[in-house]
Amino acid sequence: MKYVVGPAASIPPGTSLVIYPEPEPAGIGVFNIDGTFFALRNSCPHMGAPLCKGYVSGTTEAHLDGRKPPLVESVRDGEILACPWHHWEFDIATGRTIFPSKNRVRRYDVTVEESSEVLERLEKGVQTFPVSVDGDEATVVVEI
Amino acid sequence: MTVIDAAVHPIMNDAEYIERLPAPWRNVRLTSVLGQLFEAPFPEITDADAARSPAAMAELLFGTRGVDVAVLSPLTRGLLANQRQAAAVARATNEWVREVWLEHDERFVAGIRLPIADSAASVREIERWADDPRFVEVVVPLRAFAHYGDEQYFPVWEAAADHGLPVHIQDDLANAAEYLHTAVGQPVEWSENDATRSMMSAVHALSLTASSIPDRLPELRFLFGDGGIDIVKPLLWRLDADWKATRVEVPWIEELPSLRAPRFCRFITQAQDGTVDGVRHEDALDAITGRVSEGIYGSHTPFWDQVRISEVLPDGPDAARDALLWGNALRDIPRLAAQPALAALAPADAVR
Repeated sequence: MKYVVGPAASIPPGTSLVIYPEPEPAGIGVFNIDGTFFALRNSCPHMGAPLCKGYVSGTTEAHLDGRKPPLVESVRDGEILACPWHHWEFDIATGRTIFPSKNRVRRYDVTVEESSEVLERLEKGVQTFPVSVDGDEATVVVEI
Repeated sequence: MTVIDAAVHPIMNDAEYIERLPAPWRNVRLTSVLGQLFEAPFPEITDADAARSPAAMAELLFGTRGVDVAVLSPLTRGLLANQRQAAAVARATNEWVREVWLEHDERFVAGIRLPIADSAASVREIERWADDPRFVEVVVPLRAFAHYGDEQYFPVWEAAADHGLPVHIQDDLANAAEYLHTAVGQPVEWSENDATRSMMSAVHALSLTASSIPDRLPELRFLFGDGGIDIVKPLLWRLDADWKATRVEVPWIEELPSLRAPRFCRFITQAQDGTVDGVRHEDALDAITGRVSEGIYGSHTPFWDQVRISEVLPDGPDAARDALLWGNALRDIPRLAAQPALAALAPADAVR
């Protein structure tokens, strides 16, 4: 089902919002990374923590060159979500842990649609987050 | 049955040091062999003749016990505060081992003692002896002024790796200059001291695992001469949990630390290891260590707590016993393969 989150402008780049649609009581975190929206289930695959209440930052990469000490670089600022309980790092775009593992948080497709189209859908019974959608605003829609 | 004994400890006496040390060190009294801080309520050196006499050691190991090759890791007199003195003691010890022991019997091979608190001097000591194929490893003390994963040691580990010499970490016992065992103070009883020695192995093992040294010198092996595998493993599991949380500080680590450590950590058999012991029962060994391939037999002659050959997996399986008694040593101490006494052996398949 399509779930209307609200105006894109309400989630500016670098911010996120947790929504609680009926089919997903744990909630879904919607993230805006440089204008692209991503959505992850608000439940860490490790111990069920409210993952999307964690904090967003970058991570590090090591570049090894033979016997030299590794060059450590800060990378992907704003693209990594750290769980508030045990600080596991997740790639917001894929839902995968940064360290090699089989753990993965469920992700959802997100689209940004013109509000006129969304209003059309609303008439067909799409579930919405209780926000007003005005005029031709871009609107965030999560596919649940 | 082939046996490589990877932990045999000659002990040089004061007179021999005085003869070999340059001034001013020949005039400076050395710490006693076992140190003054902790003394066992029984004699700790039970084969004293073998400790000082290559003929007696050869008779005991090669004659009575049927050992094929003995890797000598001589004691020095513990960490010293003065690094020029430490370098002189290491050099005198290496000279003594070569002249007195290696010349005595081709079944003796040895480790190069390093004054490890001085990296440059340690590299020089490696270069001094490494052309002699009878030196098969380097030996550094378990007690140290910094964890062995620290970057300051890298030139030493690099020189060892370049010469195909694994690093044998061995407790020198003598307490000449050392930090407290733990941040909560000093053990009181000898038994406390003995039991907590394995903590030092664990600290070095974790330090090396967290460091980038295994990535930069992938061929280098660290042999923990005084065991500790039963302590190290649970701490590696803790490191696993921490790594998942704080990978960001060690991004060169790309696998669980508990899987990374077995690539370069080896543990010489030690009588105090484990809830039962480290070597007798494969099930117990598996439960404690996970892998036979991480163990190497060493007797710790001349000390009281020697591991007997007959104690190593007496009920088999044969392949695992062979791995512990010689196969793993041949794999992890590469220069052993060129020793005349082992010429007939090929490295055993790794037993996991």
